[in-house]
Amino acid sequence: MEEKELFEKLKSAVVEGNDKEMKKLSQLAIDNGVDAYRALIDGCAKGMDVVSDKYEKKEMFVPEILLSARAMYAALDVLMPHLKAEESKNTGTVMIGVVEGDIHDIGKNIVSLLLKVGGFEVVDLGKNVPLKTFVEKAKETKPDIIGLSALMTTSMMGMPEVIGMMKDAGIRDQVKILIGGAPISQKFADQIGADGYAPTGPSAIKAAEKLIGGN
Amino acid sequence: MEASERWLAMLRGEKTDRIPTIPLIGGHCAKVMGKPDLGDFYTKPGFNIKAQMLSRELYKYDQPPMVIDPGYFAACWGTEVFQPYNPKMGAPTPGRAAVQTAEDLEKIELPDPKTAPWAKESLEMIRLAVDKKQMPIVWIQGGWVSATAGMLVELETFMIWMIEEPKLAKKALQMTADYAYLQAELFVNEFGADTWIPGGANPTDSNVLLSPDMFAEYPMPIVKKLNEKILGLGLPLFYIHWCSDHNKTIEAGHFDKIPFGENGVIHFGPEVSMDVIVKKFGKRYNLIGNINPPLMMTTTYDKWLEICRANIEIGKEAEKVYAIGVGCELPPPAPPSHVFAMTKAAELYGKY
Repeated sequence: MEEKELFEKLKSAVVEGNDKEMKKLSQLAIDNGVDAYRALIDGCAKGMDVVSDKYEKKEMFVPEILLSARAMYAALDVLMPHLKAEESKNTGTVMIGVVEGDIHDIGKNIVSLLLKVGGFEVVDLGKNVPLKTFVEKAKETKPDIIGLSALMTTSMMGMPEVIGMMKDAGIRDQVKILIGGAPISQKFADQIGADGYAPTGPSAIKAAEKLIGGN
Repeated sequence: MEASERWLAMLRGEKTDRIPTIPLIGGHCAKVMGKPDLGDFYTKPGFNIKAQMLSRELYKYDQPPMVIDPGYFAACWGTEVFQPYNPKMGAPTPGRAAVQTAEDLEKIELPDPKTAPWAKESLEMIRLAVDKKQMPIVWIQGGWVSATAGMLVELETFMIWMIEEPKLAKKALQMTADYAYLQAELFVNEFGADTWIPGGANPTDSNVLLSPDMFAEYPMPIVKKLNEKILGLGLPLFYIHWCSDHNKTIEAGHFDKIPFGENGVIHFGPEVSMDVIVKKFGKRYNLIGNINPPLMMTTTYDKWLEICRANIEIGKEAEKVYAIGVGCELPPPAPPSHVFAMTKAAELYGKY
């Protein structure tokens, strides 16, 4: 199979959410000496771009996204060990979590995956994360960005608390804060002093890239 | 005019002196009572109803008591549920779902609504609410994806089943529908069919997660039958909160196929414009306004009053009754001034 054709098939398999096909094609790429990085970037990531675009346009929905995510992970498992050290270098590190009191993590999980595919190293703290954990883990992992997610109007009020705790800890200037979730708005982000706001998963990636670029 | 009179008139489809105020207030009532968290509000029937009644008296809104199962429609299946004793929590929160695999679903049995976890508290809460004689809204959640994914079956597993294992997804939806019917039947037997109305909310059925085609294939036929059966018990109508973005499903005309009873109360989220709601549903159903709830916490009192006015001006044009409200639960930490402003706006701009 030609490289170009293989990349197209990888791209299609992501969009279709076909994890078995992704695993097979990724292995085929490795067996045929295809550069793993190019398979990832020119095949898989292009597929995720299509998925993101379709999700934004409401042509794809969460069940399909979950299948695409599963397919993407299947490819990553095969391709990642074959990346050269410089290719594994990430765009930046994002520490992400759903703030305390909130267990709604499907949006956060999608953002987490898209960030990984976008070349970010992701430190996923999970859901219902105690506010002080964001600060403690930020000191340990020194992320470029902290992503805070909330679906509830009660838990969203934890976001300014995290920002305040980071100021108190003297690390606010060392990291960008990106927030998102159903009740969040740009206005709220401005009011609490967050650096960025993303209304959807795909837009979170663009926002993260912008924040890193501004560093 | 008394608050209950406006609500009861709304259920008859009658306009009164002014538009009613139905803020969809819940956890905020615990704050009114000075509680730092919502735990007692959700789990203690006496406290819950007292908080709701006092809050209504204080803010002068027209919403009847609302009764939500403390087990959050999840504990009945064996799904773990955390009660909101942490001040950061906005409601009871399901944890690990009872059903993780197809085998789990095969084994699970329909709960008994008399003996399921939190059933006793639920029944007591309904009894106290019914005693107020104000047609409380009792949440009966079944047949919807929202009542099934995360409540009975792990959310992501259920979402994937909708594509890869349709039979399992439909079976799970049918189980929650069957349980909802058993609950409705029990409540009618205990309290009659003319003392309360069934209600529900369906965020996970929205177009944030589901396509209109998935909605039509999965919850719609099951909920259609369930609602027909529940209305067949003699209950007059439903209150339904179409939480989040349902625009595509509205466009597809799927809502028109589900019965909510004559004078049913329809309540969309802020993602659907009030113009669309009035145009599509204002002739057939009573409506509740849909102001974006977080705005309560990010705007000044004057700005908020203006936002209420704008919503009223559109909603009031509906043929049936329109009530001012926010498009999801009123944020528990909302400033009291803004809660009161909704009734103030109804007085200022909502007179007939």
